[in-house]
Amino acid sequence: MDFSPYDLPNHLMAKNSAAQARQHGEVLRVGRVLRGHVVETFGDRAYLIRVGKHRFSLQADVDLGVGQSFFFRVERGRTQDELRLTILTDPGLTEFRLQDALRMVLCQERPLGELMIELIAHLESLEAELKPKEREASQRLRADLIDHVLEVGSDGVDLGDVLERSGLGYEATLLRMGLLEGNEPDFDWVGIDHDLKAELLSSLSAVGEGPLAQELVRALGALEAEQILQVARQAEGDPNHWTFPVRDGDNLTTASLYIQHREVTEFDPLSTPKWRVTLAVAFQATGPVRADLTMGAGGVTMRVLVTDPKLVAPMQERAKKLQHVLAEIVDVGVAAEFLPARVSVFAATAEDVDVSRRHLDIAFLRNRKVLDLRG
Amino acid sequence: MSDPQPLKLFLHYPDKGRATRRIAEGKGDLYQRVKDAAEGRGLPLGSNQDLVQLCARVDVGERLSGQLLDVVAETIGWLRAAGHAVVSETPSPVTPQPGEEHHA
Repeated sequence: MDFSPYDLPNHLMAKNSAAQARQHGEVLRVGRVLRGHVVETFGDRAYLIRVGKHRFSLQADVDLGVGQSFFFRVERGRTQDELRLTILTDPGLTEFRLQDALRMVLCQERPLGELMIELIAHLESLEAELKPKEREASQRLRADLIDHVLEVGSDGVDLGDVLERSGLGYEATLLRMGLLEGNEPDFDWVGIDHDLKAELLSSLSAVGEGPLAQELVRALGALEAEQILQVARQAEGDPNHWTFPVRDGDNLTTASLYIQHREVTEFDPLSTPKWRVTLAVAFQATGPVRADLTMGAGGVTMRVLVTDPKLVAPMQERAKKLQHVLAEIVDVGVAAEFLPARVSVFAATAEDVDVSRRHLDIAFLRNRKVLDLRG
Repeated sequence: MSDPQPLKLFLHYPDKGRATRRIAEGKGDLYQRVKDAAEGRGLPLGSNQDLVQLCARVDVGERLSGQLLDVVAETIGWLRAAGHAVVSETPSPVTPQPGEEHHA
């Protein structure tokens, strides 16, 4: 369905049960600015809308698509039993702009993690030829970029930090700052000062035309391509994707990470995974390797694929240690009838381990004619 | 006791005419909000307003679970360490010692 912003009526009306009404009172307090996300459509313009951890079913008189998001402000209605939710952003904009943007980025797409590694190396080689001011900017940027590398021995906090500052959510975080400042006084905005996109843009404005500026423009282009693809993924509920540099001895390598979250309800089987993750990376010692894992109340189940068959048995032997570590992490919340963690290692073809083609395997692209044969 | 009267919600789109025009121009409220927030904090912003608006659509609403991040971080660390250990324990092909070179 092509969503046209011209078809939007002024109001959506929602009818709710008494139980929902109590929930509304807690979440939808007058004056709050919240983000709504269309989770499911039931036909006849009935929708399930997610607001934070809460879900509301709405009967509407407008077409919305799964994955559409919008900020809204809660206001008093005309009577005591009414609330008016005023949309602050346009739900139709995503679809309206996204197709054009995708056309621009699909031909130049490269994983951002790879480009960051190249950029670090290029900056180092360029520095001898640069003027003092540019050399200083280059050295500062190189130090900033190294700060986005996942180092050996990193834990989940470090990984979360690398993902959060990856630049993908830079403008979205600024928007959230603009809309929510004051409403979320405890929210930590500090990370945005060290966001990759902020650092690249700052460096670009600090240098004149030349080779350094060209490198920065290229890196920003790759980052923006990733952002646009991320919007396309989120529009149809595909997994989020990140690429980032990882330390591998004296070298850097690129990790590719897909994460999909699924809301698990009380009606789902206990073993239903809440998270599905695919991780692909190529270390010097392992060559290309891929780990697919699910996590939920059934614990962690992981399948590791390696291309070198000689690695399978010794890595399976060492997987006991990983199982033990993962079991300690997820111990709380795993139902008693499940093992907390299971890891299995298999040999696979290079084609099966490679996830690069999955990068553009996005429902938004499959369902729409974004590019024809001529590109 | 009977249930309280169900609450009615009205999702309201503030001004149809203005909103439509803003989308067509690719400028307006959304870009201005991002720009104001960036200026307020002294942060840079790209010059393409359409792109800024689109990039602001990336959903950063929910943070990833700490447990999940720990699991992924441990997995990355294990893959590298296990691979390194396996390779370092694998006997390397016998390399000729000095003075043992084979001459055809």
